Amino acid sequence: MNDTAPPLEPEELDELLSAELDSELDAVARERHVPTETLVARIRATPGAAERRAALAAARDVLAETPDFDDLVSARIRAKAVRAAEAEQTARRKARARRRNRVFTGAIGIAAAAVVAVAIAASLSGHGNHTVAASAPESPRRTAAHPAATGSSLVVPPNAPAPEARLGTFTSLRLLALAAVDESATHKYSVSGTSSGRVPSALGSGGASAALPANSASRDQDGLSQKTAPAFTGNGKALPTCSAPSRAPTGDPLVFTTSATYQGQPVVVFVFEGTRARTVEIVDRACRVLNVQSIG
Amino acid sequence: MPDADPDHDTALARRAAAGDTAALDQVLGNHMALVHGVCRRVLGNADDALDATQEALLAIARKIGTFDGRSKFSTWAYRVATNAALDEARRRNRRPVPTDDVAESARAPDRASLDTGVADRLDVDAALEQLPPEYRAAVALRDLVGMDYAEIADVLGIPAGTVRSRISRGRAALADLLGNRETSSEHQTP
Repeated sequence: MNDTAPPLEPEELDELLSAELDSELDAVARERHVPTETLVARIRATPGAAERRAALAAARDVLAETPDFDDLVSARIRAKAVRAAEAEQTARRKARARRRNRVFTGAIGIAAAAVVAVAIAASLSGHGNHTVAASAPESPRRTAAHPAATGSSLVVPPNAPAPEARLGTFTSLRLLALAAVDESATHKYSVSGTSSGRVPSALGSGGASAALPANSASRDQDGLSQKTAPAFTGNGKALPTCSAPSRAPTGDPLVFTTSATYQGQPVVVFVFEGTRARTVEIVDRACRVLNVQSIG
Repeated sequence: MPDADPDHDTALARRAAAGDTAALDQVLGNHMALVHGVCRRVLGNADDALDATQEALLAIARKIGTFDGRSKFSTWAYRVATNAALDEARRRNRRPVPTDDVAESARAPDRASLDTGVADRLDVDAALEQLPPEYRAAVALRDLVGMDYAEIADVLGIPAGTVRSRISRGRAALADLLGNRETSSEHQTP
């Protein structure tokens, strides 16, 4: 006990007494680097310290009383808070769902774009330079698939391969030549739309039908001179870009170009118009002449 | 002091964070009276205290998902409540100028027409009104909620020494006012 301890100022006394009431006097002593006993001695040395301690304790007790809170108001506020939390959770769930949907949609879009890109790349690499012929099988397939729409009366045998060309599918070079001549009578260059001497995208140029006269099947080979080209060996369906002869071997000019399927293979048909007859030249996908006929 | 078991509160808070509204209702119920008490002590006004309490409860309910359980739920909740009350005090611009001589400036209410309980509440409000809201918050968190100085320092973001000083000032203000009333009552007694 230190009898010579100086008394405390009122504010410092309140602070030390308040800390003492909260058992925090040791912490104050540590903070001030003095023994707790020194602080206790100074408190005791201050006049009226005991009465002030009692007053502060009374104030603490009053402050510890919980203010009145109406039960009804309390319940209302609590219910409102719970509803707010539910709304918050709902909003968060919706936001999460929206984010998920965005991600999912984005992924689908990217995947679709990738599929398209791969398909285009595969198409380009698979057909190389035959870009004109690449689309060739598509158009006739459409034409043949909807013969009514094109006015076609071509009858395709049940066991015949799928139609591949505008003029139709043939198993006879003669019938094919006759069909080409009939077609050329009304569609001189109207199908190809070109006279450049190149085989046009005949299979995709549209507009012409694969119409075959109803009586064409009854024609015979009378009046026809037929020359059979070497056997067709190609397996592909696409037509190459063949250079069309501007004139037939007889010197007649080219008036019509079209396409057809012969024995399951795509062929290009050239029709040359002479003064007394028309010459039909049929070439395969390798631009090899399969057949040349003269039809009067 | 909060009656709720801290571990139980933390468990309830985690359930509430996961969307269990019954758990949220329960944990709010455990602390609601003291949340209101803190708001009342900080604001010193019943109506303002109700507004602040509502804001505090809404904030706790909305932010419950961010409670990570590293601190006690009560520390987290009373931090939210204290901030709501202090925000309300700033909004209302009712911060009084602190004075060294609280006894001289304290306005003693007319207690003749008031019962003792009401008079005590008014005394508390009148005494604390002499202090800035931040001082009142320290007093409320210590004497009403029962936090230790370190927790209060954490909630208010101030050193423990400052907490001690603020609590002392709050108690002293009330002690002076209560002393005046007792003196006044003694004078009125024939």
